[in-house]
Amino acid sequence: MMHSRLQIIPAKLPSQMTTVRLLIRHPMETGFRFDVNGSPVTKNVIHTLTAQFDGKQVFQATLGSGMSADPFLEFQVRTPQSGELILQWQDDAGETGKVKALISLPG
Amino acid sequence: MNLRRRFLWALGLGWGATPALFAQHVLQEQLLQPYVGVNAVQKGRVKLEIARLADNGFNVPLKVSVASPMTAQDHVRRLLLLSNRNPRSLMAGFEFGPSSDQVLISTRVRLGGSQTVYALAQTSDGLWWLDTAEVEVTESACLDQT
Repeated sequence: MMHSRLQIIPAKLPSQMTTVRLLIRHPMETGFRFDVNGSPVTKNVIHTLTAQFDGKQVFQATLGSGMSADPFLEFQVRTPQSGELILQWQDDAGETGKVKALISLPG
Repeated sequence: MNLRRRFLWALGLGWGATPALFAQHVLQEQLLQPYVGVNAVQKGRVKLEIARLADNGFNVPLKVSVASPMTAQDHVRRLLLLSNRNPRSLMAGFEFGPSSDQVLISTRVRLGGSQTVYALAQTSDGLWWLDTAEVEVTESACLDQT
């Protein structure tokens, strides 16, 4: 399980958007680097990240080596009603991460 | 020409030839072709906000927004962040469903030297929209071979 931090700014009205900020601890190894012995370091980046709200996919990101280490991502999702937001991601080494957040709209 | 001079001359030649080995700026048509194909790309709708000067190429913050009504008929399908100098030009791609309203992405990328960053968006009608930004990078993210 990868270490991550999630910040949610929930929508105040059903018509508004919920802001999602996600910071994942990951080296995002490009595959272009060499270690002290001169052997290449294998590429290992988080290649896919998805966001699901109430079981439906609302956002998908395909990331590459052009993303900085410890990738940060802020995006908006529409949350017309209260529900559960699930963020999932996977890296080249097959490791996955998952965070959940309950979004409750007033009223 | 003595040996030393010949050596220096060769060194100069080598210096001149070296940039060819390194990743060079890709032309806009070449960069966009794999994604847009033969379709035309228009300026507008996409807004890419990125600082003109990046002290550190390892971590360059940027913000992209796409103006769209985001209805089932008219919404943003995907958004791509491209670099014309990185060894892999596609830095990130984002896909949106018709349920999302506004496209506003904020993230941090790696840049291998001073270059132009491209934000390319496709709307549901199949049209491609582009915004570019020039960035001066003081310290490149590529310190090894590339």
